[in-house]
Amino acid sequence: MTTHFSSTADSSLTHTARRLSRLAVILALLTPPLVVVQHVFFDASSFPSSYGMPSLLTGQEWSLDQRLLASLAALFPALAIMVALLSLGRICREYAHGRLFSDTVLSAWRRLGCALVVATALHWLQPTVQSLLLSLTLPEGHRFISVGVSSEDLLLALLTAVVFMLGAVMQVAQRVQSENAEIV
Amino acid sequence: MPIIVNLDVMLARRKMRSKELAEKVGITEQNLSLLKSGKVKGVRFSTLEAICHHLQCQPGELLEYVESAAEGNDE
Repeated sequence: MTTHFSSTADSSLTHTARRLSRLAVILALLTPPLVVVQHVFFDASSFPSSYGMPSLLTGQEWSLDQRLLASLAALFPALAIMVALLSLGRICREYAHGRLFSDTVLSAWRRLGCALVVATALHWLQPTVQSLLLSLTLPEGHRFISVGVSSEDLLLALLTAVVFMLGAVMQVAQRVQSENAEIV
Repeated sequence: MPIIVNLDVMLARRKMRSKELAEKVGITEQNLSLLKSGKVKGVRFSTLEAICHHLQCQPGELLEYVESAAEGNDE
């Protein structure tokens, strides 16, 4: 179902949606390689997940194998974020074409919500998995597992809930619009 | 639908073409055709007002309730 834009506000929505779509796709394509580069080339203390690691891990010099393991653990949430960003790009592309309540938009909202659920879970698990993988190389008695919840995890969970709610609202909006289209 | 739309009758009486009325009312010819055939769920008061204004008629002359149609087909 197509909604044609006529006013200035609507045309600004088109432009904003087009720009956001491009930005989301660029970020989606950049996120996984950047995560790998960060884990392979930079110090562990700069990692986003370093809050979950004791200084024993963040302070030491990591081998390439350890860095690859850490990047692998960080890659899964990054891939979920990539899917979420691609879904957001799809939504914005549809908006830019004036299709506010199409089936494609609704399925993209659903996909965005699901991707955020997965991203939230993986983001929460990431420090645990990383600390486990990295401490495996430590001598016995020094190995450990860290579990925690950060404010980022809570924000991501809140964002996921908001996206699901917006998806439900969009579903109702689509029904209202299709009914409205039958009134002349 | 128990509501019958007599728009085609009124157009014939006023010797006006659908295209002309659609342009004057500000709706598409396709929507006017749907309205004439009764294949719409509703009519906005603004549309009805514009049609009555341009055809110089009352809403009652455009819309008619037929009992038998209501009994036979509720949709």
